[in-house]
Amino acid sequence: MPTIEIDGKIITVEPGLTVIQAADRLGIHIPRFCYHPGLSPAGSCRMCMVEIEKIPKLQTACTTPVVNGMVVRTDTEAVQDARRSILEYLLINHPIDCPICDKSGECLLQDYYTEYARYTSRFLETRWRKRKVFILGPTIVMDEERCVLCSRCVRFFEEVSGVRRLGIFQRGSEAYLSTYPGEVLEDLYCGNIVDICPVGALTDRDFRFNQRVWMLKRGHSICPFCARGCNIIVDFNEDSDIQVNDSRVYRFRPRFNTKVNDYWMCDTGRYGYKSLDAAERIREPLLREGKRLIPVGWDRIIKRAALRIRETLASHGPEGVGVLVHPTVACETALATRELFVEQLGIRNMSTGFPVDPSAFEDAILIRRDRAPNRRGLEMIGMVPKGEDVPAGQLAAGWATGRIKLLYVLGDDPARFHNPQGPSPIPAGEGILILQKSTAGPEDARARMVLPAAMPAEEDGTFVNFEGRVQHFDAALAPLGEALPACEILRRLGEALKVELHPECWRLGQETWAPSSSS
Amino acid sequence: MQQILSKNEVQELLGRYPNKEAALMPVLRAIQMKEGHISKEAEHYAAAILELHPSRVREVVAFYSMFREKPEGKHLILVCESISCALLGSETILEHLKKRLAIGVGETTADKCFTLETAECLACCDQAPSVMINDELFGPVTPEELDGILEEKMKG
Amino acid sequence: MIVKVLTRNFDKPDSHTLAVYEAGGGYRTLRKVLESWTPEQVVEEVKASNLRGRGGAGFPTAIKWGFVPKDSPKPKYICVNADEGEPGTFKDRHIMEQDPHLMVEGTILSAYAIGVQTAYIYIRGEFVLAGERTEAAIAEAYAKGYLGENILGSSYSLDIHVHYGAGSYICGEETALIESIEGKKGWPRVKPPFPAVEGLFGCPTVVNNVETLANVPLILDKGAAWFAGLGTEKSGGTKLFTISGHVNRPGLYELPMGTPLLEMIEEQAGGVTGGKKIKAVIPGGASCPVLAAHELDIKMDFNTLMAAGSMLGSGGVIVLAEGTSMLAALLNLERFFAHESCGQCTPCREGTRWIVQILERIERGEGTAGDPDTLIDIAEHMAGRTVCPLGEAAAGPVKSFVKKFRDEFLPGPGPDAGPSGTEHHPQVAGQDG
Repeated sequence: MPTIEIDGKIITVEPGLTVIQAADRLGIHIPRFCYHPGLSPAGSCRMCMVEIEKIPKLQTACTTPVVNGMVVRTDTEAVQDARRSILEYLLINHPIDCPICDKSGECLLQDYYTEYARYTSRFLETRWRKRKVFILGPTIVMDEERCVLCSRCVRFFEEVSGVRRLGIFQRGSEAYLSTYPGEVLEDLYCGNIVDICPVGALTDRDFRFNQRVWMLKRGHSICPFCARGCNIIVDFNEDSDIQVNDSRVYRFRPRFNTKVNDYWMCDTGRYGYKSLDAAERIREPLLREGKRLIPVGWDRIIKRAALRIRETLASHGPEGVGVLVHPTVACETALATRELFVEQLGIRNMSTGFPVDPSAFEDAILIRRDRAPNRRGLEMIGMVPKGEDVPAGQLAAGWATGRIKLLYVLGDDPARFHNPQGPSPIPAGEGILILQKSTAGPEDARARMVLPAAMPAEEDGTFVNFEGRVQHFDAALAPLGEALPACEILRRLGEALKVELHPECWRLGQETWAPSSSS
Repeated sequence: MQQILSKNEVQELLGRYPNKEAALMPVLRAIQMKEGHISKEAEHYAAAILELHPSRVREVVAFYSMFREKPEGKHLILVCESISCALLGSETILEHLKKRLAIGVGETTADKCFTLETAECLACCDQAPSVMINDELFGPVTPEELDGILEEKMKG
Repeated sequence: MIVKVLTRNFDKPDSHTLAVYEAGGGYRTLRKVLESWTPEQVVEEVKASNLRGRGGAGFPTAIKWGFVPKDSPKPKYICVNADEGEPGTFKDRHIMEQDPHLMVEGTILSAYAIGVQTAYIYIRGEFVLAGERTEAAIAEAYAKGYLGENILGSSYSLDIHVHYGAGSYICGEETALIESIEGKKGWPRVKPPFPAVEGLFGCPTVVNNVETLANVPLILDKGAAWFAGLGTEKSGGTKLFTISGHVNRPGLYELPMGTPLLEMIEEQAGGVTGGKKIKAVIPGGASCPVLAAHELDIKMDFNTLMAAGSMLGSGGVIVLAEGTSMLAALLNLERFFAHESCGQCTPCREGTRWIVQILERIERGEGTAGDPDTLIDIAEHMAGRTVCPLGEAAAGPVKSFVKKFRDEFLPGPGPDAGPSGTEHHPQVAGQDG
């Protein structure tokens, strides 16, 4: 294991690491444009040059492997001078239009530009004019004048998403980034190139001009749209004065987790942030009155639900009640559900959701065929004693035939987010349908009650991904409208049913209430 | 898709390299020899036979100055502009040709007979100023000599 | 003093044919080596000959070969760099046109020394005749059993393929050349890894210049001591110099290493055209720093030129007579480098264009007093900070031209500003060039 010294700090690292990686571990930031930890090193921007003892020329930290005994300096005058000169070269043809650039606030060029105070220019010539607002595809727009040709995006498509959708054409100062002429940039992972673009060249058509990034709060969560469980950052703004379209959440971004998603996420998950403020979100408890569902308060809906459950149990016994738990709910919700319905009320008609659609798309990158985030979690918990679990189809059939008089459904159908207009898996039935979920669906028309639940970004919880990785998440922001975390709903329902839930089951749920955001 | 090269031609080129990708430049060269330039269709054809994304092919076509993206005249005139030829008057040669053919650099005469281009050092500095017409090198040339050469080409 | 060693066949009729080459003793060395020499012996002989690379850097050839790992399980490659494009240089083209078999035999011998089974000759796309003659020579060599399976009945086999460039100077840089053979843009690679360890197709690779390899049959024929004796203490053999620009007899001259520059210009190249004085000389091809008139009393070898702040480079001597606009000459060189910059790395991509823009502005008469220093500063920040030597190559002329002829880069007409008042910018050629 080589031991090296960087700016007087000693670190021992595994062989094969580069100087920039070792420096990152020491918390020493070496400026970079083309280097990205998730991609092969290019060594082309020349920003990361450092001094290495016994080597006369400055070396690029991103391409130099550590060698035992190496002494690196990142803070000498020669290094500073090199950085200033690279910045000058990049800035002479850059529009420096930060005030109108969507990347402002999270742009490496802007950061270094201010750090190295390159405010005055000795460039007396005519700046390059290149293509502005060039639409690369449905999600990405390009500003060629801001591009520093770092090739991160080119390498992303080549090395991560697997299809070389972008190229750098021509040569010398005429080189430019583009798709094949006339080809529209479409890829399931497009959004990542905006994240990794170190400047304002690639921006997200969905996000741009909605918010200045420094006005956004950041929370952490887990993407709920497939069984991968990508770690995400939730960027939101709770200040209604500066919201756009009354939305709180503006984007999801991948959060680095080498065990799950590295630096990446798919566009389905990325743009899934929209479901948090979607018009379809259920904002208040809804109770059926005739043909209409009307908003009521929580007290009333909880009392009414408890009453109907008690009545059904009294008239038909546990056999008359069915519980369907979609694998979109967190483990804590599942545990509370088991405690309330199985342990306390003795209900055995319980299913953990419909099976995975075998025709659903899957790839070898991140996207899983199973669109539910917590199927493994529900399996691990074991909702009912082994062997007694009921397939969802059988439960649905019991409901359709009238054997089950009251069906309580927890969580959203995983297919719903991917196909909001899709059919409901819950058939028509004569009994009492109670839905506890976040987003409206066709089955609502048959529901007696709809209890609005928080979405994952709005509650604490734990998902277990398809590989069995247990991932806890904290609430990034408060639930929308009157919605409550699922565990809190179950706690209130238990209270109304006068059953004592084991505190362990819903303790977490109580705490989720207070939203926490972290940076 | 139109097969620009025969199977044998492609096989022969592929046989020179341990992978398909490496045959890209000779494939493009062969296409250009046949068609005079490399069209978008040809780029897709090369991409298909070498199992590459068209953007990879495009990068190579755009990078190398000899790969031509549009049809040219019957005769391609390259005027060397590099230092040794410049010292001996390549600019006079170029200006003369522009006037004589009434076209600019990168343009083709209306009758599609000549395309005028400049070139970087053709490694003929001992024959400066030098001009290459198609595969033939002329140097040192004077404007008057060039007029004679052009006359010949127009006849032929 | 002209010596005919490497060029000994050049004047013979049909010198490019196998018959003429064989009549002059060609492929005799190959037969001898394959019959009785081990590859190690070949390397040792070349090492003892003090052969240094003729592509520009002057690196000892046998040492370069020695970097190839002997125990690598991967195939090894040799690439012949016939991408001659350094302005002012035309020696390799002459070898390929006049004596291609010399290059082919040199390639086979070198490939044998390194343990290579496949060689690529990377020929400039513009080289029509040189390409034809090289391909013909290879075909003749195959037909005679000098190439292919079990060469001359030995257990050694080698294939040579020709790979044509397509108009890119940077492909003469060895890693760009490798990328180009792999079917990619000529973007030089970041080193390490060096080609000797991880080169063509990820395998150990040696890239040698045409002239370098053409010397190998001579060394193995007549012995290392003879070859070393032709040169200087640190550099064996003769050197092909190409002299161009304002001289009476531009051309290719084979001369001993260390021949005085002025002797070359006066005696071989017949002096300056029109009997003018020399204003400056670029001694080794466009990328070598220029020598001013007072610096010309110099011997032409790697070390002496290095000590004088320039380079022997590829041996392309470009003579600039009095009356030449140094501004226009530098602009010509820098336009070349800007045009040939691959665009991959920041300093070269941005710096070469910026330099051209400044020079064009000075030429338009809009120069400022600060321009010379800005030019030097830009060049100094390019040199040594780029992926490949092109940054250095573009910087060298800027620094030397501006420092040595500063007046011509200041506002106002310089002493040799060329014709003014015309619609065109001053021409590189002097008033009567």
